[in-house]
Amino acid sequence: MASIQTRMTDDHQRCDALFAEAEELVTEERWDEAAVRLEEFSRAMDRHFRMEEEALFPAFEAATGITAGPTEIMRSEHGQMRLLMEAMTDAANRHDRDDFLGQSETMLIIMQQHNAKEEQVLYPMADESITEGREHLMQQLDET
Amino acid sequence: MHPGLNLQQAPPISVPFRFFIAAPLFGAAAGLTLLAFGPGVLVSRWAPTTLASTHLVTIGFIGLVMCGALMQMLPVIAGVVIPRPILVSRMVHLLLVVGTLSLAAGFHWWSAPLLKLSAALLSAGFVVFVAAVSAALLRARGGDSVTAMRAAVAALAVTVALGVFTALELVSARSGPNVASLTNLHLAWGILGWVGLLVCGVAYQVVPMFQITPRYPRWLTRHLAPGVLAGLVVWTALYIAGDDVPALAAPAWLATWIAVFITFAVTTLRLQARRRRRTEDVTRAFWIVGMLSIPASGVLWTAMQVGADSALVNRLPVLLGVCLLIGFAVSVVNGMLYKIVPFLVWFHLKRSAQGAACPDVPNVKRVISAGRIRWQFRLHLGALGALILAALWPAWPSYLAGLALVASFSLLWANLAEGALVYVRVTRDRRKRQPVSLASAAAGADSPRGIETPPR
Repeated sequence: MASIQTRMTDDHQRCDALFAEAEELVTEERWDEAAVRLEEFSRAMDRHFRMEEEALFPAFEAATGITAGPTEIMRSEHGQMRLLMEAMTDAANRHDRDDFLGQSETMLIIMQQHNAKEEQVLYPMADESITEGREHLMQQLDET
Repeated sequence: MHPGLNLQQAPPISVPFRFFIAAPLFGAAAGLTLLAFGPGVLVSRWAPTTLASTHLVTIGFIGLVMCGALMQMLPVIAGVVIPRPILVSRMVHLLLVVGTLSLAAGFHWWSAPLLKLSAALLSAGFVVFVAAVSAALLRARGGDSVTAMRAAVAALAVTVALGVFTALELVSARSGPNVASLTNLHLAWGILGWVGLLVCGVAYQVVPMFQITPRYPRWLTRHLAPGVLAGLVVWTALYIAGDDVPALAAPAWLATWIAVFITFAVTTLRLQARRRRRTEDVTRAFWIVGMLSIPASGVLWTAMQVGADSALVNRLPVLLGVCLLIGFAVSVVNGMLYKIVPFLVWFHLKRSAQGAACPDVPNVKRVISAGRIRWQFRLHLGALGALILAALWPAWPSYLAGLALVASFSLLWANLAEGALVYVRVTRDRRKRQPVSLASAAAGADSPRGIETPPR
């Protein structure tokens, strides 16, 4: 069966690619295209967060009995990233290149270390521990 | 509860910062040594003042930053916490700082008591560090990066043991020919093992992360660190065996592992060429210099092995030292500081606001001014160029190199201090504005001078 690790890591990389494209468009001050790509990036991120918050994390918590630790921190980092994406969008709307690039640099670091923690610790643990209802979970992830 | 699984265990900002802020001062001290003693420093790798300034760079700059960075990064990339981080960092920092100073003074004045003192202080400092980090690393998960870090820390332990042994051998009455052999072992373990493997372990993580490149190929990351560690053990045995094995055995074996590092460097450069992220990035420029220095060092090392005795070949050991220490290690470490320090300032200021909106926190690009970072990179390149020149013709270029080193490390220090000051200023302003409720102070106050308010 497909692993949670592969499924979610692929999604991270898809988001990364959109991020890089949006950032490059802003660097070149192609604002209209940047706004479109940024919108795609925000939507992809939002979907990824919902996959985790509505399906994966509850399944992880149920399977491991861990509710207070890692998933809680992952959720709070999602909150941080939502704020940073708002700041990026706002800067792009104002055509403020420098402000955007500062916010996006911050976003990149938060996003990447968040992904690293998930890919190296959380997803492998989820793959090990979530055995029951796994097909249902994968279906939920696809449908989010 | 799963032991060690707590994904938000970044140590207090003082833990890595005390290392980062001290480190450039040692680099500047090495530059001052070059300015004060001129060509004498770069004439031979064995001159006392050469040994002094080399160790100011290796332990004082590279070592301090690597210790601080490892204590910072382990929790983030390996999900483990270092026990008693504040106590450990204070002890390690104090012992390494005083130990490095007494080592440099001990070499310069060739003082047995100072060298013995430094051996005691430095071994104590590294023992505490290795013990604390090992305790965390043994519980870590996180794949090939963690494997490389474990191997690097093991190599650090061997490097320190060999260094202490060499120092005691130097000051003993029976100081004999094996000091040269011990030194070669010491620096192979230090450069290929400790510095080399740690850079690899960090690179596996940060190169794909920060530039959005493809990942390093698994065949490389899986086998590199265990291979290099085992390779160093075998090489040490061959080296010690000396006349009992064919003369070419030890260098040929070592050449294999140097080739492995060149493969790593070339892979890194190729990954960076395929990066998705195209924004201007000084850290990447530092890394390119660092990665190019690896094959260059390989060429110099090979020339040293096969070259006939000549004036030029006699200059190669010092040139190789410059290329490895300043070209490779200092470049990479210096570049990483510009990613780590602004992020830590931002992260800790956000965290201390406890979730409140905090318009007083600058984004990571406003922590250290970009123009001054670019200038420091240029000065670093200038210092590297001048040192290469000075390694070949020590006469007047030595002074130029000394001056450039002092300038580059001083500006690095000023840049890091600028970052630290942002943290101090925002924290102080928050306290001043409203000592009662930090959250409302952060949300309602004007931003401090010089930091624009990000949109809300």
